[in-house]
Amino acid sequence: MTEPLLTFDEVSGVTQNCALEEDFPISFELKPGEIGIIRCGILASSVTRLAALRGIVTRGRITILGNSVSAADDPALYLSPDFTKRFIAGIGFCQKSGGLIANLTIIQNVMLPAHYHSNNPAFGPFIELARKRLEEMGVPPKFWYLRSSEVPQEFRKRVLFARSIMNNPPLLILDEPTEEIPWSQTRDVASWILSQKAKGMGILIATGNDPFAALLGDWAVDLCNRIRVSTRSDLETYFGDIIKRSGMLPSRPTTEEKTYA
Amino acid sequence: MMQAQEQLEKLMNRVSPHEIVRVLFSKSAAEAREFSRVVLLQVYFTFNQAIFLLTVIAIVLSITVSMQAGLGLSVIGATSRIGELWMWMVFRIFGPLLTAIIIIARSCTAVAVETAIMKYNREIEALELMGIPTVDYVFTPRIVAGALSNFCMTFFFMAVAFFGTWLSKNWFASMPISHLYDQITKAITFEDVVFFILKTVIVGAGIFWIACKMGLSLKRGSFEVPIIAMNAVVDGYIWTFVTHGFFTAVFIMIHGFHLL
Repeated sequence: MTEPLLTFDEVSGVTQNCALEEDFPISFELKPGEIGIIRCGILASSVTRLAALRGIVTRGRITILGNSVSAADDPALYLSPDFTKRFIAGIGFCQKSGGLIANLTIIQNVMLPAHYHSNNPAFGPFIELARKRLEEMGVPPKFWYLRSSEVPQEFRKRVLFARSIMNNPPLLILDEPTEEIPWSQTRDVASWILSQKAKGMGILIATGNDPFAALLGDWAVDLCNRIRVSTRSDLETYFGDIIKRSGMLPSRPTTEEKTYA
Repeated sequence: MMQAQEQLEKLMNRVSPHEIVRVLFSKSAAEAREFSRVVLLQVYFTFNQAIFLLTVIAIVLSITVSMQAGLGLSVIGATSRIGELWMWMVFRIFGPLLTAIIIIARSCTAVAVETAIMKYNREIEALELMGIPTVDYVFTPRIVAGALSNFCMTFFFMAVAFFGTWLSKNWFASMPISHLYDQITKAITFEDVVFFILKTVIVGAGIFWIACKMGLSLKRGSFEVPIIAMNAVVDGYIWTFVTHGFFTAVFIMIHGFHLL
């Protein structure tokens, strides 16, 4: 039986985004080769931050890649720079938006985590690896030596994806992977995620994109409706119902229907 | 929950001196390479790009001081002591102070704004999520660069001020440069050199530490950035003047109050 990469055991906590609700503690296990979905906006983003230990655990226990942190532990220890360096290097994280270092070029951004955590001061091998990752993500070479502000938005997200897998992490955390991506490219993102799953990575996705979640997830925790969905078939049914109830597909809304106004 | 939130803010935004010391003495080869890259870049922006401004201010100051001093010294018949006066006024006081003021006006604002924008654009968060502590990658290199830059800039200021003083003295009455040099070297003591190094390094490091801390204090939105820049400048000035005052007091205690 494979050991889970990430376990949340009745967890509540606070992050810089927001606090998770104390009366709905979160429990799940993410194994290698699984895709877990956390649904519900800013709360889901907070779960991803807690999973990367960028928050304080106020209840329960989180176990990530063999390291365990509980509410009883001193936050100053697991938020310390030493712990950050040793531990988070083993996780790949892709933020929802922003996150590219403005005064570095695209290729410098991508190679940064791999170079920093290696013992090799030379840049050469990491530049090669970064080029390979950018090619895999379809980022054209003309953008590689530009700064992020000079690169179109849709390519910045791909750069974030490339950077998140530079260290070949066993655990990948994606916060709203379809945000800032044109709708037409959503399938490419899904296909990329499935290819990482095929390599044996455990992938945790925070998303409000229900059709996307229905395509990919093996299990889900819906923080808005406080529901856990444990199997793939249940997940397809659950998200299928949500999509049907939303009334967006396949029919076009009419002007008589309720609007934000 | 509110308490936990406040604790989290405090822990995530700390730039504590002991962590800065840890960063300086424990680094892998790759970390050292990135560290030195950031230090050199910051020294370039702080020092190299300020050379013209430093030169102009040093020349104007040195000419002004030497002319005013010349007038005053001639009244008491002590025009030959211009070297000593240069040492007291320019080397001990105006040089380090004016250089620090230039750094605050240019680099303290720039670093505070840059750090605040990095926080706003989630670059600080991105670094933490890559397992790169910002105290290692962003803050300590800048603090080290600040100390180095202030020392180098003040030294450069002194060199230019020396030539400025000689030029102004030589304009009205011939004075060999070696004569002025001898006067100054006789007046400088070992304590002056030690205090010069300590003052410039500590003030420079402190200015950049304040800039980084202020930048990290961004909480709500980009509208706070000008406020952060303003606060960084004010705190930088307070730090500079208080530190200079402190070193002056210590210097006087060493040499004895009877000299006052």
